[in-house]
Amino acid sequence: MTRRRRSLWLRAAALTVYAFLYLPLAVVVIFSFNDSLLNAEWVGFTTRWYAVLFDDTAMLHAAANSLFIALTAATTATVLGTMAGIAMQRWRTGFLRCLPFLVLTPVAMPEILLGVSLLLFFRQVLDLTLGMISILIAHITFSIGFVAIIVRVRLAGLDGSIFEAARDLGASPWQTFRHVTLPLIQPGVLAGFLMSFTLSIDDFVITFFVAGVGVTTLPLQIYSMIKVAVSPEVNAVSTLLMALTLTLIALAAKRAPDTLKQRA
Amino acid sequence: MASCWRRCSPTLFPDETGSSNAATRWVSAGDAKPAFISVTAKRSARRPAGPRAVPRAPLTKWLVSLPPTLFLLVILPLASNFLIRIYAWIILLGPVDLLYTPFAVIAGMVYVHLPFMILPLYSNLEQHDPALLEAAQDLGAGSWTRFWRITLPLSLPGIWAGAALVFIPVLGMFAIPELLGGTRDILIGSLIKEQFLESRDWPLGSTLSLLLTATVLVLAGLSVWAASPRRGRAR
Repeated sequence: MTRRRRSLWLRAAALTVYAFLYLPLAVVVIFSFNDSLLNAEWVGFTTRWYAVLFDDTAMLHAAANSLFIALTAATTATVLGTMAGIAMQRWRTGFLRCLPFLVLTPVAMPEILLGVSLLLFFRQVLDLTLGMISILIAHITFSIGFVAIIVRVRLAGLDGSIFEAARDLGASPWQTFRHVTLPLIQPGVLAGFLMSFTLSIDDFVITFFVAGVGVTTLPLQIYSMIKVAVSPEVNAVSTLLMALTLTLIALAAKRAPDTLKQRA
Repeated sequence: MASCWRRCSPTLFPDETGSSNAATRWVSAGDAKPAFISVTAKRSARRPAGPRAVPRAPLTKWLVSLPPTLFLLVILPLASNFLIRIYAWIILLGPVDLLYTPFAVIAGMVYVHLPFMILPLYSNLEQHDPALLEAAQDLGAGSWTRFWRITLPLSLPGIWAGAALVFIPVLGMFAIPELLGGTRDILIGSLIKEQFLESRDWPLGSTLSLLLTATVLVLAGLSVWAASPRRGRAR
């Protein structure tokens, strides 16, 4: 009897938490189809906010920027992060022991700190004009750590003797990498790419500091819109963005169980 | 979301701190979304062997399939951009006149960061040995005593890890007070932002940032120490 009562109580608590997590998002999605300028009461079903959205050149331009930045940054970060992951796995003595620490630190700090330090670095050290280039460098910087971690986890689950076997059989280091290492870590590399892509397309705080005045990304555009007023157009773009991230996560998840099981 | 995934890792570097099963798995889980799935898959695979799987088959099946789903449901909100989640609160609180108040700021922060408390707690709770609870029950402990004397002390590492994962990013927050708070709800994050982007007092901004960095490092160190399983067991 007590057991049953307790489980009821637990269920109620869990339900409350899930409601807390999901109701606000549901409200955003529902009101994106609402035929009223105010997000206050349900008037009727419409898709006109999506039409408004696709007519909004500033928004479309920001979306195109975001897409370009995410693709470029994710590709670069995947290459660099994979190299870092392999190095972290291979050299675990001496000075290089600090490598994981150096790669991971940006991952662990509050974003605002990374944002302002990149801003200072670009302006004071590189004397770079803020814009596309600075955003790209920033996004690559914060993505590398994630790719490196995923690749390293994948490598840690592999049997190191296969690489030695390849070398024994006469493969050059490059051939070993190309025909043995790369195919084996490929799921991890892909998961790292997808992750960097979502991180980049979603990033607001760091971009906010390094974007300068000329270039706008989708999150920056959303921020400037919601700072001014509530608009169903924002609901529409939010709904589409959620759908996109969900798809990417589903893709990454399909790849990953394998990647991470190795470790456990 | 970017923000959020990045934050998953302050329970820091598994190899360097020599931390634990729980922390390591949590970090790996936090660092790669997909890890959650494999963690839960493993859990469900293990489940039937546990003592709770005694009931009839359909119920067992339900129990096995349920936790991963529930677990995924905690993570999924993180998949939406964090601005979208704040925007949701602008919509919700606007009509009831609670927008631009300290309450709105706190609500937004709790909403955005709640999953980061649940995740480490989950990976901690998952590792508790159910036999302990059963032994306690056999020895006559009621449900409250069992929670207070067994579950809670064993969860402390998870609680500390979660507290750090929430506290550290909140320290640097500026977007939430700016969007949900009034003009008087200024946090150190807003102050830093202001120095760098508005009043252009970079030296002051840098000093504040350095202060924040030092605080974060101390807190991260403390949380790694507190979350280490050795301390959890010692209690």
